[in-house]
Amino acid sequence: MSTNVIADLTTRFGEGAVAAQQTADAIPTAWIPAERLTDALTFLRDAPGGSYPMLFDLSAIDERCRTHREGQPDSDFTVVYHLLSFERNQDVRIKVALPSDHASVRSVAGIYPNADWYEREVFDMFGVGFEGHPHLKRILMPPWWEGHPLRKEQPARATEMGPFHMTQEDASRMLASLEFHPEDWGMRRDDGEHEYMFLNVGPQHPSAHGVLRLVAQMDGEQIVDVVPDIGYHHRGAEKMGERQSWHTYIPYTDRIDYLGGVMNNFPYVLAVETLAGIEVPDRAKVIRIMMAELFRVISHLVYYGTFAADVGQMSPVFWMFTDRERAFDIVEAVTGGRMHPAWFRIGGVAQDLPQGWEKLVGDFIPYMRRRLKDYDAAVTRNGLVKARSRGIGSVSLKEAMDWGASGPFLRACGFEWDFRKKRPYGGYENFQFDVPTGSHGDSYDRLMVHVEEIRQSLRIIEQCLNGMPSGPYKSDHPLATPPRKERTMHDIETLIGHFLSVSWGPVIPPGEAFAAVEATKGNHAYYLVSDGGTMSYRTRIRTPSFAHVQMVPLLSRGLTISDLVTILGSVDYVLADIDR
Amino acid sequence: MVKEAASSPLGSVAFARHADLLAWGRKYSMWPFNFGLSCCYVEMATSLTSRYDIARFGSEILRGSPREADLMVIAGTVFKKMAPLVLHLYQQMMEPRWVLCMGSCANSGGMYDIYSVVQGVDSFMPVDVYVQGCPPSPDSFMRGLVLLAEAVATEQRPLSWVVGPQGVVKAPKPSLRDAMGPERRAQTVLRSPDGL
Amino acid sequence: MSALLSLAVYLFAVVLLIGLLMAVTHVTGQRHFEPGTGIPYESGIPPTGSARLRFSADFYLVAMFFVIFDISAVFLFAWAVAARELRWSGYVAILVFTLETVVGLAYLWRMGAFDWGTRRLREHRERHGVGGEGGR
Repeated sequence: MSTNVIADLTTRFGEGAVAAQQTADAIPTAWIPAERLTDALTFLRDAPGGSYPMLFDLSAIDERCRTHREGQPDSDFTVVYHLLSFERNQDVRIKVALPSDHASVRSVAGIYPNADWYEREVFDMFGVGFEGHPHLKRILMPPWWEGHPLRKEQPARATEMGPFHMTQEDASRMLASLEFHPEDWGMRRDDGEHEYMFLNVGPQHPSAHGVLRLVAQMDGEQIVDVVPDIGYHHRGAEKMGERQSWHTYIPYTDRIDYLGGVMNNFPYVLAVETLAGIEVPDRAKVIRIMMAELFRVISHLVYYGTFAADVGQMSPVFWMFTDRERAFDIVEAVTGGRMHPAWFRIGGVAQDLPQGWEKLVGDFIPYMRRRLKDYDAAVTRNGLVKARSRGIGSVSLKEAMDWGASGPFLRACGFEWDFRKKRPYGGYENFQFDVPTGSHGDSYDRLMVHVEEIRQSLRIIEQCLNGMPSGPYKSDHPLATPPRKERTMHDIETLIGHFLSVSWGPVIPPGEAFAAVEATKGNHAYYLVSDGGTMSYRTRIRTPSFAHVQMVPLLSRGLTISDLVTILGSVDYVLADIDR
Repeated sequence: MVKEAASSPLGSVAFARHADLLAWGRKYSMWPFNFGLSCCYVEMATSLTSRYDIARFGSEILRGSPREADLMVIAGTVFKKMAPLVLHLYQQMMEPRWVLCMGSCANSGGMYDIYSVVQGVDSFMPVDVYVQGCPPSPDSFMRGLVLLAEAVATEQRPLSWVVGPQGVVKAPKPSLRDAMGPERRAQTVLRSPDGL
Repeated sequence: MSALLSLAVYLFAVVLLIGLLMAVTHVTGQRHFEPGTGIPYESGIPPTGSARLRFSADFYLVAMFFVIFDISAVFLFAWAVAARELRWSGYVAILVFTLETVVGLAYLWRMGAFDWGTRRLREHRERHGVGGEGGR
């Protein structure tokens, strides 16, 4: 099995067509001409030496203001295709260079189905056209929006755009443009006998778990098709990255998956540390893992409780939120914050663990294990929960891979793929834990995978508790931000470094880095492009929920509207994770 | 006893006493609208659960439909795509209705001075209480709710849209920062984060 | 005669009470008429199309079944009121009637007239080829 995918591509397409690029993260990166793109992706998808069945991410970079592009072909807009191979356990990045006067490329939605929404997002954010795309229209910005926000000439701040005025006429006009027209989507209004009802589920709906809008085409009670409409939660986190220093961006990462807390900081600081070449000390690694797994427990408890509420059980959500409060006691004692601690730093964590943390964590683990036993009796063994979720929203493994599923969603289909085991990062290779899998890929299996993951996370936390190394909580590397306070009072160089890196920001060397973690919802990744400045040039956030919610029509066709509620509850997503 | 006409700005004595009674009733049963936009909604939901229990203050049930809700809690960032819907839902609420702005994003856009976020929901909607925090802890949210409840208890609303004086007389909005300022400034000993 | 009179008084009291309640609620409280107020609530978005559609005949069938079995139940109540007077022959007659109704019920059950949601679910599972056994 050949592991050199660049060599494979060069053999297939010729020397002149493929240009390799070195990146800080050691992921093979190759530039392909736009006209050979579909051939290259088809070749890779079915590659004989190990195929790339999943399109992990599709994004773009506006290269017009970038200065450090040594060795890269000229490009105004670069479209980046990030493919993942399970057999090779390797990624490949294919880049296509586009000039600004003809920023258009063939759509790959026919090769990878999940490219649909990613291409719509690139079109929305950059104005890049995709020929042959089924519905190329805006996805994150509202239909009345003018301009493409991630382009470098577009303003970032709302205060640069003038005060927001919305008169009644404006509001009525905007609402009318949001109305659903089935003809736009190629939907019929009836099937000859029955007329279809087009029901808006959301954006204000308790079952939508956020401001997600789904338009369900319904024949009576049965769903014929579903069209998700996202963008109601778009906070421009990627553009914000270009305006914040590497250090001050960390609170924005917290709010991407707002149930995940420091788990969101993790991929971002890993990517910055890759770019800067920072090695994190052992104690910091174990602290990070402990806090990240604690937040996995917290997020899964919300999932568990809301899933039970979605299938009709009113009480479990109260019990789980009470457990969450116990976990938040630990988080608040250690970090000072509850949901959004923003506690990881470039090079380590913000401060050392407080004295007495062992007791808090040590009491929590057996408490949580007892509660999980009770919940098994109340929720997972409950006949009604099983009846409402077994066989509902099932998806085959091939479909899950085609559509970019990851995390518990993918594992529920029976595939043991967990970045913590397959691509250990941040110290996970030193921990013993199992990776739970399901078998049918239905809602019940997703629930069981999540519940078992809580137990495995408690195991990891216990190992962190018993084996916490001593040492510094942050690296001594000059780019670790902010430098450790104890050192700043001893010499002037450290004091200057501290002042500059906190106020102006650390200057991260130019390059590109990608870091992915096994976050609470799936594979969460940051792709950072640095131009040698104090701010990121491009912050691409690949979120798991974006791929999962794109699958909702696939999961729910033919089922009833009450099954849709179960499916939404079983697909662990958070709106800020989808829209960023 | 009988209230003097001069002390009651609405004039009629009978109406004033009834209005007080109704305001007292409204104070203790403001049902929030199940309207969560963003992260603040999770803290709002947490305040409903056992440890914080907002039902103690009368907010017994989150109503899913605006027709049945009294209090619209703008819990989270108001996006420009969402703004017309927020206004639409506010218009669909029945009187009496109040708006509680929860979190920095709803108050002023918060840390998101970005192209897609409205810098404060009060640019297109009237707001009764602002609760700060990012997100405000459930305690802060309940404090804001209690503040609103106290203001509601002194509100004068018309008894009927057919007869009687029209127009809502609202209580002036106090600032907790000013009210609690002396107490907060008196705290000089801050606990170190190095121990529990 | 007095029974009819008391019924008439009762009817009058009901109409009076409801009328009073509706009148009082009509005039009390505040009102506002903003553009969004009159539009039906559908999660914040104006609805697409109306709710007066041609639905599947399955809904009509369920309504029909209800009416039929409801009328059967009405007959049971009528018999129960006069059970003593009708003696054993009446009991046998109602037994036969109930048996006929149960046979009809069994027939409908057997041919899948009540399998509405679950039939579609089974078809969905077969179509997708996954799902395993259900929890039923």
